[in-house]
Amino acid sequence: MSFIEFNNVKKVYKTGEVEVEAVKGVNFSIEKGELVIIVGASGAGKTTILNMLGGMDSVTDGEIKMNDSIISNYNRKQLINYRREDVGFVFQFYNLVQNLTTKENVELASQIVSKPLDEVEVLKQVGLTERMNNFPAQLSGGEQQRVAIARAIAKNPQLLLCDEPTGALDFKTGKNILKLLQDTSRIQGKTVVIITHNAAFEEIGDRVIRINSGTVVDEHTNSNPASAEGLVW
Amino acid sequence: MKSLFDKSSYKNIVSTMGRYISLVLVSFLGAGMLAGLLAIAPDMQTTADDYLRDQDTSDVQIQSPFGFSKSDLSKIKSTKNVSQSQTTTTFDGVAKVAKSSYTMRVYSIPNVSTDLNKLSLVKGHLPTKSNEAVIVIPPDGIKNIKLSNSVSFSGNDTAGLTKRNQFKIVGIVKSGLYPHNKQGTSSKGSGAVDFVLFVSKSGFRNNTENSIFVKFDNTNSLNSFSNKYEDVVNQDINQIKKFSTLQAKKRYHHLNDNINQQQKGLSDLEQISGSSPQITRLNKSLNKQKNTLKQINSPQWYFETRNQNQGFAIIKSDAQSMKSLATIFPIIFFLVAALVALTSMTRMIDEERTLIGTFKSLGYSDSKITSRYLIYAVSATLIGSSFGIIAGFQGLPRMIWSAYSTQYSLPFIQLNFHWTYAILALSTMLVVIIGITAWTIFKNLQESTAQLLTPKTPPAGKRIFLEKIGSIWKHLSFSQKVTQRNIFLDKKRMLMAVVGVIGSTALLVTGFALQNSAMSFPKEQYQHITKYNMTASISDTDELNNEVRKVVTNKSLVKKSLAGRDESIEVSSNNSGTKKYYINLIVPKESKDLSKFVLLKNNNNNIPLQKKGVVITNNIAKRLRLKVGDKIKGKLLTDYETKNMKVTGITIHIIII
Repeated sequence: MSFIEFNNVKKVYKTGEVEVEAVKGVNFSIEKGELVIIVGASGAGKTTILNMLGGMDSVTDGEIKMNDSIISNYNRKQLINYRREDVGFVFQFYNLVQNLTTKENVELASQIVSKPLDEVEVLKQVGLTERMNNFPAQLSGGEQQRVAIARAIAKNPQLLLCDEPTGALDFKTGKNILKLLQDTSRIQGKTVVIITHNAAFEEIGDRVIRINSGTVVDEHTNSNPASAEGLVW
Repeated sequence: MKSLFDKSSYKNIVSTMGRYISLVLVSFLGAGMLAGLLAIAPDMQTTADDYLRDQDTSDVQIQSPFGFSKSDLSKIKSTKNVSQSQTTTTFDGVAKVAKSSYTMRVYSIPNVSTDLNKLSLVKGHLPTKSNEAVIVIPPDGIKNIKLSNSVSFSGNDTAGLTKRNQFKIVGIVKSGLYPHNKQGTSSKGSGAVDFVLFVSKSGFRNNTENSIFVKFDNTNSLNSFSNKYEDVVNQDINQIKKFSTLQAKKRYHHLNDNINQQQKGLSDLEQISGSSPQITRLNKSLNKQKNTLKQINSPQWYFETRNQNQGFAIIKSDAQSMKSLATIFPIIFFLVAALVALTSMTRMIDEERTLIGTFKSLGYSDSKITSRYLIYAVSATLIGSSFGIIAGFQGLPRMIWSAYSTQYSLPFIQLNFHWTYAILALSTMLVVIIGITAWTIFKNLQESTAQLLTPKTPPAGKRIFLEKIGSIWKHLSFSQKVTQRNIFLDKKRMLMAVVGVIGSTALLVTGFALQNSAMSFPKEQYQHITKYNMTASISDTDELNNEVRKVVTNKSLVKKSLAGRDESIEVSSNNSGTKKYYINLIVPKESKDLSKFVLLKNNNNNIPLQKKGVVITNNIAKRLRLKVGDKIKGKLLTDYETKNMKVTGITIHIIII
């Protein structure tokens, strides 16, 4: 029994009379503590997969399980609680609350969960001790993404979901962010899922899932994944 | 720990102050207009009611055209619920004062000073001697009349009630009986009472009392504008009416018998001592008295309650019209408020779309997210409405009062805080704003978190009809083409813009239209309906008659003229209960010439004046609920008899003079 299981998951979007099948019966599983790289071209359906896994979008058919709970059957209220307690999101464009400081942004997330981590501690981990009282607009892109990661980690979730976390960053900053995410998985034992269109990231994943046109074309594990520091793309 | 979600919501208010203030302002206007307009009528009523109470104004005035007997008065005084009463002698007459002549109503002031119908002295002193009088000052003032002017009546008018026909004005007073410029109608002079005089009791002969003011003890706690007050007073009056007709008849027969007896005595005397000028004079006077009595077919008393007091009735109807204004006018402001709220909340929620998605992804509940926008809208509404209500209560009655009060003899309007109206205005405003905000945010929260995190997909671009007309489309520039397409792209935004323009245009046009039609009324009335330039009233004296005739028949001065009779009459109808109106009855000497001076017409045709029956104006027809063929009940003010007249036509008449 795996930590997360996708069983024949489908997602169909309807716009007017046109039906678009974004995810066409996907099957994969993820073990606890793994760093998972989901890779695919734009429009392949990887973001849809992440959204369904994160309880942010509904499932048309099939089931998603986490620790024996069927997430895809959750009602509104259960989904809210699931997003609050079990999932931490990191978005491509950080999505910080602009009128709150770094520390406050982290607290905003941590103060509604039952077992949060200390936000100062977490900010220290991501190297933002000096920037705690700055507003997002006063931070660089990399710093903002680190705030977003700190915000996700401080919730102490079972699962960290990152959608193109380096998409808006330069090479060096992006690598730092990847390193931070890899460390989060390795050191703290969190399950981290990263979505990317960049096949080079495959090297650092404990598990790699390739998506194309809404189907899984390859799923494999790396017994000896590379460190994010040595990554080149 | 302070909720950072709330902190962010609060900071959002500060950073979008402009939008927040616009919400505050619309709710200020909406709630303020509603509360303020609603407050005007009760404030006016309380002001008038308190004033009447302060002045110890009577509830009803009872008049007997041929006086009261002692038993009449004691019967009235001992009627159930009568707490205070004041007998007085009154007559109307045309008085000459300071070279002008005015229609005046004269009362005697009782020697025993009662609190009832207090006279508050403005200037001078109250009458002490038999030749002294005080004048009631209407809001318009007393024109050219001054203290120490003398007022002289004709002996016809004083009719033996007073010891003298001339009085000196020694004081100026205010009276709760006359709270308005209009001080009642009269059978004398112009038909309207110009001024009211109070004369010392010693100026009147004994046993001439023909009027009694009565105050009931069960009306003290009631507002005189309320239906309850009217009911209670009517019930109390009915106690008096139970015996009034009988008493009036008794008095009538008694007076009649008296005259007969005196006439018999005179004729006996004549047989014994022969005819003398003195006896002839006495006989003449007795005959005159007898004739007066004969004119009265059904002797009765007349009751004038506050509602029938012209001044009071006008104030009451003014308050009533403000009340009806308060039911229509605020709707416009609420619509504006709703539109502004819809626009700004929609825009705000659209702007924060990604933020809403982020909050949802962090696990904030829908209700918590909704609260961010509800608190925004509700706090703005609460602040705006509260200040609006206070400003409305203070400002609007004050503004309206400044327009009306030139007609009123009342103290400055009481500006009260009305909890029920405050709550009504506030809650209506809240319901509107909360409803719109909740609806807008609810629609957004229906979308999945994932959708919220992506920018809103703009409506799909469509080809528009204009593109099919190649000849036009080809000649448009790129930006013109884009504009054309955009108009049809976002229908909601388009609709909001259109509705906004409709609203403002409608308001503007309504304003101009009101002004325009108000201005066209006089034109229609004075060019097409009443065509004459002047009316002249002539008195009974032959000299004056001849003077007037000379002027009127002088062709170089007057092109056309029409003689006729113009009387004030009191009308009512079976279709409209006890309502009475005072109107003018005009009888032209030559019916066929009337159309040259006053046009009688309905929508399609001119209405001929027939031998029998009357033509009434659309206004009185509406008020008395009469149609052609119905009977209208009319009574000359100089008469006591009500007569039925057949309505043969209803004419358009715009301005009531």
